[in-house]
Amino acid sequence: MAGARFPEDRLGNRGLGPVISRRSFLGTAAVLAAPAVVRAQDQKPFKIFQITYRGETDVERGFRDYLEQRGVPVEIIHRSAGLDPSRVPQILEEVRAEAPDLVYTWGTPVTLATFGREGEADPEQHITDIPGVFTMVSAPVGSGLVTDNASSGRNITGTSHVVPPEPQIRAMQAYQPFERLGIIYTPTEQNAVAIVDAVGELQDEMGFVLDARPFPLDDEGWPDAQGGPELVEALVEAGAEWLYFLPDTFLSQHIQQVAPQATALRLPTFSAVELLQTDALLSLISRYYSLGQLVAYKAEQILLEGRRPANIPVETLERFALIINMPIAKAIDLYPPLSMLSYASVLTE
Amino acid sequence: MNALRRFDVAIAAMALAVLVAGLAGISWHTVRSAETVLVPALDRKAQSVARSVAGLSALAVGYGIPVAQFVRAEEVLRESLDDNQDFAFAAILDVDGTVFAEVTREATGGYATAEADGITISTATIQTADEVHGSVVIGTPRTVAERLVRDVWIDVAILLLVAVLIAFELTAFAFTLPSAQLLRGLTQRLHALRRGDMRPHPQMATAGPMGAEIEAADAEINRVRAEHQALQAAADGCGDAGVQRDLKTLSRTHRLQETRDSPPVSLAAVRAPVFLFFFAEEMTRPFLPAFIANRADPDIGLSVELIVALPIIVFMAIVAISQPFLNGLSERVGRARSLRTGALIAAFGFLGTGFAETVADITAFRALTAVGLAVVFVSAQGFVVDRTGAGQRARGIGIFVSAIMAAMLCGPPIGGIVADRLGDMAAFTVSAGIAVVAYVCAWVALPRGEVARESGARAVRVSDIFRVLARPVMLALLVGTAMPAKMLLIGVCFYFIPLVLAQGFEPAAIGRVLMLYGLAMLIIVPAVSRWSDQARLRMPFVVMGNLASALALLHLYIWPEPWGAALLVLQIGIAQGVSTTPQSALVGEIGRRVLPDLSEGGIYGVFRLVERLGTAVGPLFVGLIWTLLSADAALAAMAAVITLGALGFALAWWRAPVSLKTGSATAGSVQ
Repeated sequence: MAGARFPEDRLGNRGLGPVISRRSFLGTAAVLAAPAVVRAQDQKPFKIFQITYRGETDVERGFRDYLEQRGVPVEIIHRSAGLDPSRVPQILEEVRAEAPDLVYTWGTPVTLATFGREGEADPEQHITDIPGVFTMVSAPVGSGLVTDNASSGRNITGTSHVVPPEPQIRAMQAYQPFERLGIIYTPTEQNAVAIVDAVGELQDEMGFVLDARPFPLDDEGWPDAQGGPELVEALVEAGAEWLYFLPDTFLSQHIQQVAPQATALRLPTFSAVELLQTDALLSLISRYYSLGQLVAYKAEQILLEGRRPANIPVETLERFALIINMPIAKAIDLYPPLSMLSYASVLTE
Repeated sequence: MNALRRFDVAIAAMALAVLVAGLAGISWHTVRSAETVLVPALDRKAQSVARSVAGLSALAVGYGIPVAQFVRAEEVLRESLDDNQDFAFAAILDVDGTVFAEVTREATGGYATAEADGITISTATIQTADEVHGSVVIGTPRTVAERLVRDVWIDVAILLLVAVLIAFELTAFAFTLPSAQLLRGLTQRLHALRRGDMRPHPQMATAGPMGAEIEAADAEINRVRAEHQALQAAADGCGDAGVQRDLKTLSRTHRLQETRDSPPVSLAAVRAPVFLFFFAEEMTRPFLPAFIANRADPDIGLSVELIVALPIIVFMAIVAISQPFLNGLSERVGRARSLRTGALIAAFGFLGTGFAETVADITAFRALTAVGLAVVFVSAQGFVVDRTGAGQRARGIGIFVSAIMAAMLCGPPIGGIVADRLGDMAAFTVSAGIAVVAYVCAWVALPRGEVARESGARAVRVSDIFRVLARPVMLALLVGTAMPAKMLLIGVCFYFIPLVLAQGFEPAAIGRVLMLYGLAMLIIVPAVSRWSDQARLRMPFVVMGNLASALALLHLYIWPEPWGAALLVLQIGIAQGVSTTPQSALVGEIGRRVLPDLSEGGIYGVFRLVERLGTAVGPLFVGLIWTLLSADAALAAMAAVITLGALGFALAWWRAPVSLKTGSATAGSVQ
């Protein structure tokens, strides 16, 4: 399992500053694709159609840079769903018209709208005949996109940005050992519930108690963030020693209802997504840029080597970046252990 | 004979003097440069670690963490101490020089008492662009430098000793080469003539001008002897008493009617290949157990201790059981050829072991090595036996046994040093290479032609075993003293000790411990064998030797390692050196008395077989009890077996008929 690499990172990257996540697969890529690059020189560019959720991010930059460095000629057409996945079918009309060599999707909603769930894909509605790569899908199996990460069995493959729970717990323990872990999550988000369960399963093995509290739902069943500060307070009163921010879309949107209160109450916070690194004391994340390179590596295998996407595993990065938010550390008067500074990145403002 | 020896000694002494002088010079230079290189290197290492910790501290300060608020700084300090066993303490001081965080090793004091404790301090300041915030200090005891230099001295001394021994072997080997043999033959003749010694010399193949000189000398000696004989016959014919008396005097002073009784020079040729070959095997002693342990897979349901014992048991069992069978085979194939083949088989075994990845592979390749070793041993022994009569056999066997003992002394420390510097895989490759050199050596030196065996020691029969062991005294002697002695040697000295020491010491140190056995044997055996020739001392020597070797186990509980192990190995070497010669003599003497109709060869065959079985049983015995109970229990059981065996033999001897003892006493005093 990719996540189990965290402790090696701690040892292996001592003194090298931030954890570098590219190397492990770039080395492999160089070996596998070298002959193909030669062949690619006088080819006409491959056409790649990108559909993102909220416009271009570091993932797309990493994707483009990788292909450029590898000398893979590509022509990229980019469309954003503008935070509204219901716009995807309209974009797919354009995809069919362009007939690209590869379709690229960003995030679970856009990916599901483009390729459909496993077993439910409809050639009329979804893209099935063009190879696809997806990224930023937090639970490729859990969301029903594929049934097995080793092989999708479909014309798609891709990457997930989620760091597995175990290295996350270990990162928190390394900073400040704890016995009670607090979580605030959105009960209507399937991903969030799945991760709460996964963390819960580690309680005995890793020696902590999980205290997970959902956002209350209003009369129409929508989550309500107004009670955020009270939830944090209740966790502190119950003795929680860390507050863990899940990859939870609603929580991310309403992080201001939660994070400042935690800092005020001197409760250390931890995030597993890059988006929240400025709100949490400590983050263990997949770098978006590195993730983009990993997707590009898979795209290269499909375009240049002609490998079938079903034969390329769905993966997460094997190395993660540990980020310490020094202003929060100062605010809650909880500095990191000295040794952690030799392998973590530090945000100073 | 004296002339011959004087010539050898003169040449050897000259070669050795040159060698020792050169080596001593190099050694002195090595140690001097070690002092000038090692000590500053130690300081540089401490400096660099201190700078690295100070750099990390400066980084933390740069992020806004004051030195006084560093979190778990001890972790970082502990890690630098764990990575560098030479450091006594590591500390972070604040800007006023007071200790903020400190980690010390158990045995040593900290920063505060550094000066009094004789600890050298290396300092690095914690500094950001314009400000000093504190410092990091690392303490290195001055004894570390002294210890490093001492280690170099020990290594150099051992290399010197081994180089001298190897030089001896090579000088002896050189004398077996044809041209050297001619030179030696001529010297021998000239010396004899100068003393007026007119005995004929053993015939030798001659060639070239030196050969012509030898032939001329021999012809002259023969002419003088023939003329003396003719004169004698003439004097006898005419009955001239005065002339007869003069001729008799001449014959006595010039030994005109005597013959020489010296073993053939060619026997020495077997020494160098045997030495080199056993040197290759002995090299593996210090690191083999740990080498197996590193590849042991505990999933197969055996403890690591037993898994490690497995290849050793298989090796010893093959060596023990295959010898009687191989003896006949090597005789048919030819001693020289089978010796060479054995060396090549073992070379493959060494090479394969080095590259083995599982214990199954190791066992297979060690088994191959065992076959090779058994073949070499049997062939070398057969080579000597074939070429010696009963009178010279003991000295002939002595030639090759002392070669094995020298290898036991030289092999372990050199193997340990090679494994230390190049790794154990490389050490196995070196062993394979030396086995190949032994092959070449045998190819160059051993005569192609085979000689008829003078007296054949036939293979051991199963019925012999039962007949010998049915006699209580023989049973007590063989199973009670000979077998436990070998169990102790292999089970404790060559299996238990290297495995336990490997947890805290480098192979070189283990090799130094194991060489003490060879050293004790090499020194004690010749000294004691003369002493123990007095027959009435034999029984007490055997019993006391075995009891002393059991007591040696106590050293492990008295002294800190590696001294306990070193004293144990040394004491076992001395104790077995005391008991081994009388034990072997007793086997023949008692055997002749209680089993008059069984040949001496048969009795010794059973003795060697029982003894070698002990080498296989030893590691199994220790490994099993170690696994089932504990290491202490295994050692206690080993001590019990030896003690009970020795006392059992004393009892059997005491109860044996008086004729047996007086008989052997007579036999002993006759010698």
